[in-house]
Amino acid sequence: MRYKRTVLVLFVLLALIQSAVPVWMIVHRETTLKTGRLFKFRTAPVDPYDAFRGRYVAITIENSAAPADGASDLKSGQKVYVHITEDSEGFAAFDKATVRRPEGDAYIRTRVSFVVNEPSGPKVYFEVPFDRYYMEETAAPAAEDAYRQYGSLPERSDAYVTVRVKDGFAVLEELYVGGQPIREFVRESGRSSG
Amino acid sequence: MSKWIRFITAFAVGASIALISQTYHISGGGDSFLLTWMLLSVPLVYLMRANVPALLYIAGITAWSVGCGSGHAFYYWPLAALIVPHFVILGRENLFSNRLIVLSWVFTLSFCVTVGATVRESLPFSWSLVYLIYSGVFAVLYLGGSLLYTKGQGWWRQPFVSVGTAGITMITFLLTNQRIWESIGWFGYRINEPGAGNLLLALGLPLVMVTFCLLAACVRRNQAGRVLLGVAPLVVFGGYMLFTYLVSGAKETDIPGNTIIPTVLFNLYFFTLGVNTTVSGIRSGRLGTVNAGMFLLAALILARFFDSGIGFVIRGVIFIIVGIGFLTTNLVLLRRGRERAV
Repeated sequence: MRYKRTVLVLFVLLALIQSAVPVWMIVHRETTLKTGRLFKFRTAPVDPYDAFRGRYVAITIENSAAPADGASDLKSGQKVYVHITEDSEGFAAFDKATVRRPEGDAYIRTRVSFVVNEPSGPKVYFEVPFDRYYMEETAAPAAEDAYRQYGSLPERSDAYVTVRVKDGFAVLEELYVGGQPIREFVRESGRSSG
Repeated sequence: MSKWIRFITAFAVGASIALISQTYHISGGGDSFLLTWMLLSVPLVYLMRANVPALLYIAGITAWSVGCGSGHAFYYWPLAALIVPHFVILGRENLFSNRLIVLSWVFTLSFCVTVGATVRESLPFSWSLVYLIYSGVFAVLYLGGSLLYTKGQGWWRQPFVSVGTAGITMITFLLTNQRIWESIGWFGYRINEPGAGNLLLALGLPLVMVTFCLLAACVRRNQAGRVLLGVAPLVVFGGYMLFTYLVSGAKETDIPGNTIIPTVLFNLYFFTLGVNTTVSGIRSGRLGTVNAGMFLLAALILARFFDSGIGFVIRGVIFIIVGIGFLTTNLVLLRRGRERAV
């Protein structure tokens, strides 16, 4: 009886710990989405035939590499802080990568993928923490069609993502195509083609 | 607690993390997700004495360490150590329970896959020593398994022995090919470079010592029949030492010429293995063992004929002769068996 009770207590404890992980994941992201600073990142032109990997759109951020600032011996997998700047149009770009945490709130915390030594100095390629946008499984084929049509338009390069950043932690908010969220874009494209 | 609760609890964590990953567009190849899930599910194994979470855990850490990015293989070992007490508990209850056997199969296969990945990541310049390392791992599995399961059991009930046997056979068969020895000199581990012999000794000598101890234990426990297969790492180590000695100071262009002696050594060893298996099968009247032995011999003969530039017709004739040999032996043995039965 006593053994059973101990097992039950331990089981409840384990269930609490197990639940804490997903709860923390949600709280951390919701807080970032609510209170984080908003940045708009232009996405590189997407190959419409390679954009969909199952249920998500693969996102490539334009110029997703930054010069290493003050650190010459960065290694793959090392933690770095990538500074963010904004241009006159309000679009964000990666400025430089440092080992030290910068002041302010315009930076993301990530890991080095690899470093390329260029004549101007080492260039850091890093893991962009917002490289995919999940969609409903049923919406994927329609989105793929829309994306293909969109891919042939001249204004295709105005695709961008909005990202919320708080204490270096980045959460993808929305993917915009043709100036509107991709869900709406897909819906409208579906209507006009249908 | 019912089986269903165990099953659902094991998968619930993974399912919820996957759902959150999609809701918040979390990036990455899923490696941190997989590791989090596995670490959260391992206490279930002990709390519920459940096998499904244990199997899931082994499959998960294997996928994480081998399939999700580089640099993870080394961490497999401390993660795998977390599941070892579960083995001990099951083994103490019943060494021959189906739960333990299924778990042993999964663990053995996962272990064998990760050995290669660890060698590749931890010792990148010694990839060619992988034959020696694997021969050692398989021999330890084979001999250790033989000591553990002393009763006569089928191959399915002895996962360590079965995987060890299959592994040793494959490694030694590969080393009968001259091209493998050539690649040992060329790829990664430059055997003729100064210092290469030290690495060989540093890895080989402990392996040889462990194998010796296990062989001695097998002989003491009247399992001398295991010696021929169990001695494989010593033969591989001998082959490597011989090869290193032959090519020490040689130019790279001379290496192919020096591969003949170790190749011949392994052809002789593999041939002996085949003959020994066939003869022991005939003696014990086991048709399966006889066929396994003949299969080894046929594989060796065919491989060597395919290596050499012999004409298509002769190859075909040899193929047919080997086939007739198989059929005749089986027929003779079946008749003998019937006569004995009568």
